[in-house]
Amino acid sequence: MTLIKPLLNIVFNLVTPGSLKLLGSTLVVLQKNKWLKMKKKQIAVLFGGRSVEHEISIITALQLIEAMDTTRYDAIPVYVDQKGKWYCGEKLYDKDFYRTMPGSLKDVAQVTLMPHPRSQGLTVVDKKNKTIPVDVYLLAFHGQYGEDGCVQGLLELADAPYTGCDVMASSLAMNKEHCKAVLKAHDIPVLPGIRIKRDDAQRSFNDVRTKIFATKGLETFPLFVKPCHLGSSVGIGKASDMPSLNAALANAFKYDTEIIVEKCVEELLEVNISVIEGDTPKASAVEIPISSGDALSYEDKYLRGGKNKGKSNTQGMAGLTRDIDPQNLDVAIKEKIREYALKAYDIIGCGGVVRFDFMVDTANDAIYFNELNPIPGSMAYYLWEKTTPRILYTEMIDIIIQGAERRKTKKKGVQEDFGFKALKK
Amino acid sequence: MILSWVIAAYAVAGSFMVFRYRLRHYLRYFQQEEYDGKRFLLWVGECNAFDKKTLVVALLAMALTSFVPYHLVITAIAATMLAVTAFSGEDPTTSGKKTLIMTPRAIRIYRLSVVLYSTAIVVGATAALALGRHGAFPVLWFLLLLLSQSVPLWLLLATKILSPGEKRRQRKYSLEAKRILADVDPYVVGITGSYGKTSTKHILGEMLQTTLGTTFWPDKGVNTVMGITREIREKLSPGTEYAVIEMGAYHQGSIQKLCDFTPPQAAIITAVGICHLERFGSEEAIYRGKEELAKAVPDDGIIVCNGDDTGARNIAKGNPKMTTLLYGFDNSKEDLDCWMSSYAVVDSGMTFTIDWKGKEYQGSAPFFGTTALSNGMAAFAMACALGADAEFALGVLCSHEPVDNRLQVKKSGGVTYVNDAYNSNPVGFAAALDVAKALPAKKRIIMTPGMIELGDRQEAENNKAARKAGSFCDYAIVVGETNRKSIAKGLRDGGMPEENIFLCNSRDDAFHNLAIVADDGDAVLIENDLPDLYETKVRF
Repeated sequence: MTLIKPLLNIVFNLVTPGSLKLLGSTLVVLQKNKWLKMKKKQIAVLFGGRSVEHEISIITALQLIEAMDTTRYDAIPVYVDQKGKWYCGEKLYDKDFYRTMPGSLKDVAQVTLMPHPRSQGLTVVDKKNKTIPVDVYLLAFHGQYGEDGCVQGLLELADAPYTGCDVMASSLAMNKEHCKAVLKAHDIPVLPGIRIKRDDAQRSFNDVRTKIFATKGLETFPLFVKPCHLGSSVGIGKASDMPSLNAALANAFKYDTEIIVEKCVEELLEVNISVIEGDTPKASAVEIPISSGDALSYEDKYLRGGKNKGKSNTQGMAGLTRDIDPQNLDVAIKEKIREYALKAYDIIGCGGVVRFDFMVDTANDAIYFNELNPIPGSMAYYLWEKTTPRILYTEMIDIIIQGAERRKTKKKGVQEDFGFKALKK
Repeated sequence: MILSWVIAAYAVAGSFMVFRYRLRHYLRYFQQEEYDGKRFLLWVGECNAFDKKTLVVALLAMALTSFVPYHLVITAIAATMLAVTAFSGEDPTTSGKKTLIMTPRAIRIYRLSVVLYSTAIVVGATAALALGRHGAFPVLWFLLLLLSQSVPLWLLLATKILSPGEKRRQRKYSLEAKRILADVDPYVVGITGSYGKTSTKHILGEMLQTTLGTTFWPDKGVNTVMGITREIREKLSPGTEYAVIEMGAYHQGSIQKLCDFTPPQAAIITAVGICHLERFGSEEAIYRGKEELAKAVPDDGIIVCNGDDTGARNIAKGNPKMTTLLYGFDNSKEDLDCWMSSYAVVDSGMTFTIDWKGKEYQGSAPFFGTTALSNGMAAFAMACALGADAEFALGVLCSHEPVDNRLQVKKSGGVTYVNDAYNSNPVGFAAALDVAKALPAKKRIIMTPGMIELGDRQEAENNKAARKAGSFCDYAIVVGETNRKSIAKGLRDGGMPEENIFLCNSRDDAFHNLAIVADDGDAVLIENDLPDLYETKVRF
């Protein structure tokens, strides 16, 4: 009894607010530094989403995570399912996970991102609402809601650094008609085309067709029809006569409320090029996607692989046969395409790594801007591996992550808080 | 004594683990059978889905504990073996062709089954041990043996107990769906028919959505009140202008029930055939069943009926509305509003000319068969009657991708497959045969188990279809025994040599034979494959 009292006294004296605080902060430091090791950056890789290119996005993301520098980054896969719910968990690394959905979803945790600047990371959706800290969001979406500025908008609201194009550039890139119009205004050549709204077609199909033929450059067949907002080959078609135009229009309207009709170049060569951010943006080697050994025709480009593109081809964009830095392509054309690509990257205000698709009319060597992919399939790494100087995939991911952080820091230099002036007078 | 109780408890626990594992597996199939007890039991019988492993272990344990002195050791080993099987199996929620989805209803059934079984096994085991004295362990194993085979029964019992609550819940949901439908208030088009209704629904849905305005149509072949309820609650959004509802008729009154649920302003009747003849009882009953839809359409509404089909034609004549339209191929009576004056099979699908209101429209579509064209005409006529631009609507038809397993033509390794695997019927069968005949091929091979559910017409209809097949096919692979005789006879009558007819017992066997017969350049017609559920081999 006599011994216990002094002992208790000592214990009580030790447990002071000061000592507790010290103990707490030591633990925090140790935990943060992972027991004094260099802290790795937490990179949330976002993919999937409510898009027709859902599967291709999964492939891009899994490839990307594999290529990430594990000594510097911890990848946190964040899968957005086709209904738009976000999930996080180890199982997402496994391809089988996606084959066994929805059953497998029970093995991962549902998460969300709160749209305010203090969110600090992803919030687990359960009773505890735990936060998973995230340093940078790496976006690996393709198509609607992920590539068109929607997710980017959410990340802006959360004040979180994210890779690639910002809201404006993303949405501009994903509206084929507006993107063309902006670039055309800056003297980058585009094919004549017109945007048609489904509402108008429903009001009078005939008027719409009249409008198409009244557009300069679209007076005669063949024409090409594609959905305005989709990035993939879904819903596109060539029209060589009136019945096939009707079918192509109807088909495109199944996938989008706005479509564009363009002149169809018959002797066409498609040339793609990637541009990456840096102190000054750099352009990659160009490529000519190849179909069955021949130079690509318009239809081949779009209709190759068809709807099974993502299913049968687990390599995604990287799995296609292609001719990178083709030697038989005129150097002047390559140079011009590089020039256009760098100029367009600047005009649109792109970030991260993007891919521009150009078309060359081989009849007269005319070059046309076709489309801009703000998040290209497989991040277009296959182009950078063949570029001089070479950039490997791992290195490329470094560049875009650093770019995301740099943009965030720069933005922080802008005054946002203006205080209450009118109401608190 | 205490040791006996402990070991017995261990055996009970082991068999309980197996039970939980098996329960989930059975639940998967039970769910696929839409919790229909009768169909589920039929499936259990047909696929011999009994727990063979536990049967062997329990039998051995029973025998050994009866005759060998070390009953405790034997029991412990047997129980361990059971527990191991329970943990080594695959998870039905992530494996198999169609996974188990733990819906709230599935969870309720699962939990109650567990409670019921646990009660039974604990009471049974205690009784066996308390009363059995020396012979307790053989009795215990006998009990475990019986219980191991009783898994489906617990599922059924649980479902039965839960059914009043389930019905209440369903009623609540369908009332809610009805309210949503009333709020959104789309223009409802009902579709029924002995065949072609699902395809017609999809084409029309696409057509209205593209050419007229936002359209709602339930997924796949959903055509019951419960299925439509779920679709409405999940997908019908405000502002939807049209709803295309497929209505399934399984007996008289079922269409009426659906019409009360989603009152149609317009209707399509694709055919009054002899499908589900067994359930309806007579052809007259089928006719009256389909007519319920036409009767439910108000006088100022629209009905579109298949003029090639006597029943559908009669329904149109007997129930005229403000707009009554007939469509079809055979315009000999010159009363069709929409008819196909010509059509042909080409490599990429069909080309055709539709005559609508005296004007001809040319088209080509990526699907095959006259049934698909007929469904297309039904949708086209309805869309035009609702105000769609004919050329726009035709454009939708011409770019329509057919629904899975409904008469698709695919090339695989030099062989052209005409796949008409879904729910065969006499008209569909004939159309598929036409396609197989029209496609260029070195040899033509037909593989089929024949048609089912046709009552006393089954033999004659299978015979008739087979005769047609026999007249131009070079080989035939007849799957299963159900229609073997009538098909083989028909094939011979049609002119196929006996030695070219292969009779197979299983699907695997049939595909094995097909691989031997089929060469590059051949065309293979697969008519009426068995549904998924019966396709995969079940291992227990």
